[in-house]
Amino acid sequence: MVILSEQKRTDQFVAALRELRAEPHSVATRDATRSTLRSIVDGHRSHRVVVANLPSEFRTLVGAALEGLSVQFLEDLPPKEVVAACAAAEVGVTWADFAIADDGAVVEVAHDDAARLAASLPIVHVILLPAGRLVQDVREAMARAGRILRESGPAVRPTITFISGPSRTGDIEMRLLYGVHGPHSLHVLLLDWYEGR
Amino acid sequence: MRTGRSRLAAKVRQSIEEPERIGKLWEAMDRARAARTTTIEKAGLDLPVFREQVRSIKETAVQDPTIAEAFAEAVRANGGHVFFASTGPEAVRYILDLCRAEKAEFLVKSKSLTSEEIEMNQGLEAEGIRAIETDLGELLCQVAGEKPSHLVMPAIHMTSERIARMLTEVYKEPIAPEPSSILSAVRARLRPMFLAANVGVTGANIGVAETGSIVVETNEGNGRLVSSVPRIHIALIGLEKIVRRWEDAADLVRGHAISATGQRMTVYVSLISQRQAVAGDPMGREFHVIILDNGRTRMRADPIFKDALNCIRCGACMNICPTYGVTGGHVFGHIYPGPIGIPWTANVHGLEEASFAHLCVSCGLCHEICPVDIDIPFMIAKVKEQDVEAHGQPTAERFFMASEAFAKLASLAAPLANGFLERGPMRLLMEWTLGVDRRRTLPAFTHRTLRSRFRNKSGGSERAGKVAFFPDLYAEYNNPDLGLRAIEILERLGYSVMIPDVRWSGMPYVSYGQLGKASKLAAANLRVLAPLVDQGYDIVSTEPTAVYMLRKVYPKLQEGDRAAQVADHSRGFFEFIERDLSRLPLRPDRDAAGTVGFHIPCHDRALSSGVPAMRFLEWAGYRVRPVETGTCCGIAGTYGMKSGWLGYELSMAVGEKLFDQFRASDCTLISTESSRHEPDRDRPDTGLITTGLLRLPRREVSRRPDTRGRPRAALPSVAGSRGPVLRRRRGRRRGRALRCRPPAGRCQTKLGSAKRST
Repeated sequence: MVILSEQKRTDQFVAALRELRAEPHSVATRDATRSTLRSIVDGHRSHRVVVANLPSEFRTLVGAALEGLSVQFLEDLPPKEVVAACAAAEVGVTWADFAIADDGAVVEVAHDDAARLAASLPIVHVILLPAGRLVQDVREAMARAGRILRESGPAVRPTITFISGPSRTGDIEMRLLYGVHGPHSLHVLLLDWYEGR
Repeated sequence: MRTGRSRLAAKVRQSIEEPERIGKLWEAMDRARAARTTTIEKAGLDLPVFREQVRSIKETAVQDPTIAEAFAEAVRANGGHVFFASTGPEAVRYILDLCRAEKAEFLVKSKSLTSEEIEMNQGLEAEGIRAIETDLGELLCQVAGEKPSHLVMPAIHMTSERIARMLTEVYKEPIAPEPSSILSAVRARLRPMFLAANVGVTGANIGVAETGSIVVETNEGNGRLVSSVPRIHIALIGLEKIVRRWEDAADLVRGHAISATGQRMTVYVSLISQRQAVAGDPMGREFHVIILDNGRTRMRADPIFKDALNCIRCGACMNICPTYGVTGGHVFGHIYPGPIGIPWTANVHGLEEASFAHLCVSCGLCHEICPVDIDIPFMIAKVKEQDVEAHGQPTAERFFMASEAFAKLASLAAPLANGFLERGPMRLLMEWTLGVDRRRTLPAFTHRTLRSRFRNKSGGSERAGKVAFFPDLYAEYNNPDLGLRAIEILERLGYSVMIPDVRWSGMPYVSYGQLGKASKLAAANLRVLAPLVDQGYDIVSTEPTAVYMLRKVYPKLQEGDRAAQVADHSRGFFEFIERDLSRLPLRPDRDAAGTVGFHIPCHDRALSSGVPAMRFLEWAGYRVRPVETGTCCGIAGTYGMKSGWLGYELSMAVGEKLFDQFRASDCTLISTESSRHEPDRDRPDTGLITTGLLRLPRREVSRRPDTRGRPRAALPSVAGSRGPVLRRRRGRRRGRALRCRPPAGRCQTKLGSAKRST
């Protein structure tokens, strides 16, 4: 395996995302994160947003970015309303713990299914990824996921999902179509300014 | 036999006579293979190394009898429930009970082959519970009331027009015949089902024992919804899918996607260990894992069929199978389709359902493409053996298994026999009584066999080494010139050559399921060859199938060092001399002109993929390009010579695809490495493929309408096999330098694609 410099690895990741028809956005500052997020949501002409699984400091940021829209933080909702909220929303905003440079896959670590629902039911999925959290390949990623699962111990193991682009199918005449059951669009925000929680 | 095979023949006829039914399939297979190749190249995957790793992971796990219990224990520790189902009905009963307790009238499920294996949907439906397929392709099959026709692309046999018509009727709303409109309609229809479901069923691509987790791989995202919305998540996993550690899972995840669709991995790879709370509330959600045996433990104890448990269900084998490509999964399959479907069906659904084994032409390509290096052809031979034991063997197959005796006889009676065999009443009689199709040209036999002409009087020194030449039937009884040319070249390169007292290689025994006879023959040949190897001989043959038998099949038929040693020292003629080409005391012919379209013999894909033979032709002065569909030519030794739908007709349906490629190519000559059948004068394409390499005469091909009445484009001339005309010239080297003069051609080539489909 070739060890790449940080920048090269990021470039590779971004190229792989594009190939999967995911949309990468590199954001250098907190402000840029806000404005990019807003423009993505506006670009899809969306009004209802659900948010889940974010580090607490990002709740304010997302809240501020999407001011004036219907924004629901799922963890604050009565559990019975979560599914309906996700089903009604057009955009879901969630968190990626790390990503795979070779494959353009982002990795979601969910200790609560609110995260998976927010990422699966709306037609647009926006996932925030701290820059510098890139592993090279699927082996490295699987080893890391395995470590997380082992270390969590029984009964509190998260559900981990590698996500490579938007939902797709080739089942009709082998023609590639997006947004079958999951999102039609996947935006990945690479947070250059954020080191992680 | 009559019933099983004749039913099969009728189905083959139907799919060949209505090509539009499966017209898209061949194209889909092509694209899947191409995508696989591209991704392997892009990912820089060292395929042999990767295969070895995947194989070792699977083999270790499959043979570990404690792994399932370890997995179960870890699932329970995570708070999940585990049920060991020894049969399908037991598994269905468990799911049914859960649904009843939940008062569920339906459940949603993501794609699960294991659920199809146990016919879960039918079992639940019979008790009034609907199982709703959510994978788009599976859903379309469910609505149409048809079985999936491909492992990975279940609805590949349906056009969008047909789908739109069908859904318009069922959903009672107009749906345009555009894939995107169909997609939107299905999404809108299924969404409320997801949201209302209390029970969700998924399969599991992998189980990981160390943390009690499953891996679910989907592209559409339905697996995510099925496992997150409902209160109860049931995962159905075959016993053979469990591995020990997470490190083992990475290569499998990659292997699945690359082989199936050429993706680096599927869109969603979910690592699920337990249910999660929703917004902090556990909501009493449950996780049930059903570990299914259904014959797997028995398979594990079977020395041959245990290999099937290594299957990762990627579908690569059906993407390369020539006869699957023209018949489709409804014919070439029961529930599990394609090549690997044959041993699986025989073991989990019973021999009676596995008669589609006789669609296998024994080209061996499924083994070559398998990411787990599973010897599928050998297991298929075993299923055929069981089937002919139970149901008998057609005469044609018995005839071709007696090829050696027939060749001896015909050679004694030649040339009289040739006159008989060429055409006319004798062939009609042979078709009636033996089932040998009269449209196929049988190779001419010669009275002067290779052995009688060679008489082990080797003129070569031992400078370069010692060679035992394995003639097989063709070089012995049909075309001794070919053998003599090869021997002459070997001697000129400094080898001493002898012809050992071996019999033929016996491929038809394997093709037609007589493994006992194959094994006896292998033992007899090994008794002769092993001592020669001990004395320092290399075994060389001009017949790729013979080399394939020696290297790949004999070691399976006869375990032990003997077979392994012989395998290690057996080489195809061109591969053997490849490194010596530059010092070959022959000169390429200046007059060589033309472009040779080279067909890579299937069995050579397991050996050298025709590359050395193409190099030789280039060296001789030709322009060479491989012309290939990426699968087989269809004749498969003797399969295409049998009359009927499980012979000639099926082989021609496969062959047509290759003929089209030859017509479209710019080649003026056609060549391959295998033994040949002279093309029939009336149907030049019938004998097109199995043509010897060494003689390349030009032969004009007449224009004649094809079976469907379309005018047929002229095919390039067919290269025969008398060997390049080696013209002796007075010259430098001991005054006997030879001039190699294959007729016609300048060469230049692209060998890049030669390995494409292996």
